Amino acid sequence: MTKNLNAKKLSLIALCAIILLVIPILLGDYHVHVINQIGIFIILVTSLNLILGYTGQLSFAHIGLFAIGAYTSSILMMTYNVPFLLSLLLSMVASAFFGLLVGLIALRFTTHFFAIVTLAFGEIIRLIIYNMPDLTGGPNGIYNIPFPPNVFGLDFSQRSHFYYIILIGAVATVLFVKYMIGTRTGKAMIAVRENETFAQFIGINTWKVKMISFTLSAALAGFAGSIYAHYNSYISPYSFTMMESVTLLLMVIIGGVGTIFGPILGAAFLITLPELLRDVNEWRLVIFGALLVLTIMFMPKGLLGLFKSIQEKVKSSKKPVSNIDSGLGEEERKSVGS
Amino acid sequence: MLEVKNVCRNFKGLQALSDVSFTVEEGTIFGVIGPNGAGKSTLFNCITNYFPPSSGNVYFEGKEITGIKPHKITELGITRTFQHTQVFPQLTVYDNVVTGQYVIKQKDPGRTKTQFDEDVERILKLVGLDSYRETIASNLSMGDQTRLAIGIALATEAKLLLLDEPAAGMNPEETKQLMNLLRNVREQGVTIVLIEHDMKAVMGICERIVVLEYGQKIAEGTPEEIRQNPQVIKAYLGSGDIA
Repeated sequence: MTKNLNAKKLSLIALCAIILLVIPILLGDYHVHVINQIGIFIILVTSLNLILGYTGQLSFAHIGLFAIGAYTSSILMMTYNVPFLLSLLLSMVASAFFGLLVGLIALRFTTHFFAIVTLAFGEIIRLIIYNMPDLTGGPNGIYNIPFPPNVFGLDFSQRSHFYYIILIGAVATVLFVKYMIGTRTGKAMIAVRENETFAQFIGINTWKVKMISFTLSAALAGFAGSIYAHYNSYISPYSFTMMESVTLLLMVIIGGVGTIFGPILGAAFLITLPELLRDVNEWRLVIFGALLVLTIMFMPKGLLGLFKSIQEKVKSSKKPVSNIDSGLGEEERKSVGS
Repeated sequence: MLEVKNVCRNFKGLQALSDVSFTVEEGTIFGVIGPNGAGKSTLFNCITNYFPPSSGNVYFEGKEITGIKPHKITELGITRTFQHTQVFPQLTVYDNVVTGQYVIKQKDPGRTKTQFDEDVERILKLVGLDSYRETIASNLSMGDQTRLAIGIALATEAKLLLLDEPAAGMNPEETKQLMNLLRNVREQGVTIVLIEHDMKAVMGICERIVVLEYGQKIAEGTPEEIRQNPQVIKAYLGSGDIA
């Protein structure tokens, strides 16, 4: 039975992999561009999910950490001729470092207070970038950020080729976060989210766990930032505003907070939606706002939760449950069996 | 093993604990009883530094632990449960126990994953929840949640367990099972301090008992001594004077 299930799961994964690999061949440039944006935001939102969804700390500073990644990578590569992979790595280190600094101060606060302090830090980072024109180009931003050098005959100035970098980055990030929450430290993060006081009294150094989570998540945000900069080859402070921070939050919440697939769905949904709504662009924020309210009121578990409950309803309406095998069935059967 | 020395705690004007001292010997089950508001939970809160005592000291294995951080106290070997049972509601029973093992990484960094897994299995069996391992903790009954909380505490490999009214809200049968569980836990070499309302349960299981009333220790002794202590009878049943 389980072998059968594994085979099905494996073939599903293989199918997804093939689809993901051939996407840029099948689709036109515009669609690939949209998918690339989704991919970059999947990395960023998955990093936010680590601190928000799994550790339960609402951070608005991520857009700033994303910006630090983007600027570090661009400046290193353009001014100091650092090779791409090294500047990608160093941008993660830089974001992690600033994340650590922000965390050292902000994590002394809890709940709303933490959110407000991180909001301030997000803005401070943006304003510093804005006001250091010699280093960052100030309000003009940085132009002509080089693309990564060509490898294996892939030319990364083409969107359909850059796609593969983003694909690898997104898959790696998602797998890393999935691995992370499976570890004992990851379980401790969830424990902090669930009941911080109790966590302390069973010997979890909640401060340390939150710092680890925040720093890791900052490093991943920097990773996303670096890829963002080299993909768009232009960055300016206007890409890293508070509004963007709110959009990130919406992606996590609308997708499904504290799940692996939720933020992926959320990012895909909230990037595709404005593309579909180009004609009514001025209503974008109203629609986003309404979506947030509706999500919180009617589907607190987000899109993913909605899909799951629909799937369960469909399943329970068909009588013999045992013959239908899917990823979800496994969890259900376990809980029924116990 | 645990020594509480002249511990006082005031909340603004209220003297919740005044000058409480007692010693818990290793390997015993020690009871703390008293009417509502006598300061029993405050005592636990002072020992584990939920808040520090206003004055007085707490020693564990000869070492002063007054005012050190709660997770450090757990690292040293004291774990408590809370009055209104606390578990991690969205995690499975299995994962709840795993979170308790976090502290072992500080105590014994070399432990392998197999050992960790075996420990979880052993604990689940001991507290009688091994058939509920994949159940989400919030779906358990109150009694099962209490046993899970004890399981989490055992996973920290505490030498001393402080249990705050574990039998609250349990029926007599569940209480009996719980007391058997506590005896088994003690067999494993864990010392237990128990706050309890159920007099019958306390008298049956504890070797020594401290009685608190209005924040003061009014008696200490074996269950037999406590049962015959006139001050205790007065505290529980009233003075009997008809004025």
